Amino acid sequence: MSHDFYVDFRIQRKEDIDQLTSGSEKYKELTDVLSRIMALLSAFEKEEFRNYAKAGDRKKPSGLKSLIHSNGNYNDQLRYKLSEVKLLGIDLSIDISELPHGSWIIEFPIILKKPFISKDDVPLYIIENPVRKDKVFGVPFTSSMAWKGNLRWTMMKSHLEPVVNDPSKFAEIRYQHTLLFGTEKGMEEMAKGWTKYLDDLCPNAKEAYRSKLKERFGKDEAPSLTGMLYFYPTFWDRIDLEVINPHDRKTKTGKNPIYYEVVPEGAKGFFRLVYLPFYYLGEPLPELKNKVLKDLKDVIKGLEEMMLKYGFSAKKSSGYGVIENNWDKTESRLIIKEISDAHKFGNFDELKKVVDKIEGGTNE
Amino acid sequence: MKIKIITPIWTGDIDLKSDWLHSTGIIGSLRWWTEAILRGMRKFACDPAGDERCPKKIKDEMQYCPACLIFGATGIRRLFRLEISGGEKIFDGGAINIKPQQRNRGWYLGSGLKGEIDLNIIPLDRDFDENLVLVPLAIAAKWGGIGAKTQHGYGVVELIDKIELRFENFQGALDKILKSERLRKLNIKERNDTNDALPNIKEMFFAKVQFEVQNNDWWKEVDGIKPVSNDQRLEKWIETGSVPISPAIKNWLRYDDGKNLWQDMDTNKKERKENWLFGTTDRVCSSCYEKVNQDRNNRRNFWCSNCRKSLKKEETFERVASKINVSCAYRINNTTWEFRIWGWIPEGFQGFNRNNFLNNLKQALDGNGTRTIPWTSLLGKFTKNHKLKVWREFNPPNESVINNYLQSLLEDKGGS
Repeated sequence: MSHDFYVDFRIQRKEDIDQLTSGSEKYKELTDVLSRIMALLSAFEKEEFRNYAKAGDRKKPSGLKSLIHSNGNYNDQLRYKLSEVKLLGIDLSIDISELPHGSWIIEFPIILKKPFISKDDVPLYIIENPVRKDKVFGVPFTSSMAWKGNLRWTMMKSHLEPVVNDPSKFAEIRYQHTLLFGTEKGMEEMAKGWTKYLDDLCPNAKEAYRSKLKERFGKDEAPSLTGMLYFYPTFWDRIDLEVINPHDRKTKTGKNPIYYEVVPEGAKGFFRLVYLPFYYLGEPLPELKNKVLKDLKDVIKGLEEMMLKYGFSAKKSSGYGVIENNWDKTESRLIIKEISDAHKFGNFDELKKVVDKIEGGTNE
Repeated sequence: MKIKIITPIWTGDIDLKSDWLHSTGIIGSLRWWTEAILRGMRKFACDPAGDERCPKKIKDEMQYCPACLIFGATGIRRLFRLEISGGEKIFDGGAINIKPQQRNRGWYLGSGLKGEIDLNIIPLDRDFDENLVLVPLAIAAKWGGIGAKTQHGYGVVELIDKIELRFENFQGALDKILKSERLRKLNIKERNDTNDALPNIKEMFFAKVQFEVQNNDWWKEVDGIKPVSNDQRLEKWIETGSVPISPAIKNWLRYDDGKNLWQDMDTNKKERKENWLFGTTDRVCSSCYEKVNQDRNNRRNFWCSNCRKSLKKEETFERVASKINVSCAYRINNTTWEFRIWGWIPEGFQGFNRNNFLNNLKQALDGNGTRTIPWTSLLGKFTKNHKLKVWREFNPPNESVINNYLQSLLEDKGGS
């Protein structure tokens, strides 16, 4: 006994891969599917087994393909893991009763219409493209950072790009986005990254935007600030394996198939977003209400575009990462603290109507 | 935009089936056609599955070919998002084995997809113009196919929404994304390299053949189909309005008298040319297409008995697909059916006379050459009046301007 996982369960023969896949012989004690997937790693050492460890062969699926796709072993285990997550109170609804006036929460179940892909940051895996999984439970998830990044990008597309010819409006919306999401990446003496991109997108709005920040925060330099939106991770209930097989241009045949893990279409998760209007606190209630509702409407528009049109995953330009615009109404919730009670909605149109009613003063 | 599937579409999945439409399969195919058009326009388009794919880094400068600027590559996003959905499986169960007479193994045809495809193009860049996608798609739809396994008859489609497309708009859209000012902002350069023996629309040929049928059961007499004509899977395929005649035609062309169209009389090593033209599932030498075996002196290498050389794995091809695609037959009206023969036949393969082959093929399809096609034994006795409806290939000096040729392809122009 070496007390080293990868040495004890090392793959030395092709048969080891089959035994590992089925959980027999020395691999019997590896009851956790993710551990068996990690143990596949030692097949990397031998080139002749590498592809077999990924998918088996034409006659017989084995390795990762079996564990994730053919046998559905991972999905069986995900159900158990998700119940553990719930039991520990990790993926539950958020209580906003202690938050300031005007805070709001949007939450609703989401069902994937097209697969979702993200890239995990594990240093070694048997394929190049593992889907991002929670480190503790091994459940595939969309991190809160991913939600934030995707929503900010989508709101730039849907709110900022259409007004590039109107610098004052551009500056105003860019400022609003900064309050919602926090300081832009690249906001340095020599602008780079996101900031440079937006500066270049509408150069005439550059100074107006910076002036607004300085005016609001009373400093010479634009400060580092946190955004008013708080994102939560989405845990998915299914995982699957897909393949892209780029065709050699000379032989017109598939060459070096690229395997990638996905959360497949039909998988269910939960989206939660909380907003705290701390940059508007102290303002008179009608004014606060106007600002909060404006932010809410803009964010909903962004969410709708992100989830139904642009997608929120890797490979989104290939159509991945969009959801069904129809969910279980009873599981949804919109509450605006001190402004509106809880409302239910079954799709984005209903959500927008709810907000219109709240804005019109009919809180029903 | 809606696309009607005329002959089943194949987009393979991890189980080597095509149970549902995979957008990546269609996008890959669209890129293939875009590359072929760009190469025809003397633009460089990299082989994205090869080692020389973009980006090419020279000192601190990143270079991308126009195809990668449109479809994306490492470090640069695709200019558009393509949502593709629709299509439904034709039948359940394994592949149908269509075995023309005198063949031992035959051709295995899996279900594929029928119905309609919804295609939604969402620009992700201000400089994107839909013509960059629609023009290659329209040329593929009018003359070739999309998706995989087009050599087996899959992938003929029709654009339902009739849009008048002009090639000059594709050219304009391309110029827009290649503007030096835009590339400078992105801190990249257009890659100008050599297109070494990669698919080029100038080296492609397209033919459409029509014939009349005397009854609705004509397909039961097609060579290879007769023994499986009562198979429910095949009946479901026929219900889609297409008939898999590709095995019958290819069998004649490769193994039967059709050999005379491409084989020179003095050839001894005919299988090399055959492998190059019609493909093979054997591992072959990448320069001469001779079958290779493991090298006894170096177990990691392969031995080519023709070149008398020990080859590294990467100097061999594991499999080769056919350069000639034969579509399924599809209905034009109550009594008239049509099929396509098309492909990319480059110059320069040793011992192969491209012009002779294309001339022979055209004359045989047209019925005015010395070599005739035994249509009734291939397509059955209930078919008649087989004729070459249209033949298209880039034909300088008569058609010296590639843009005019591509515009004519968009307009479905041209006669046999």
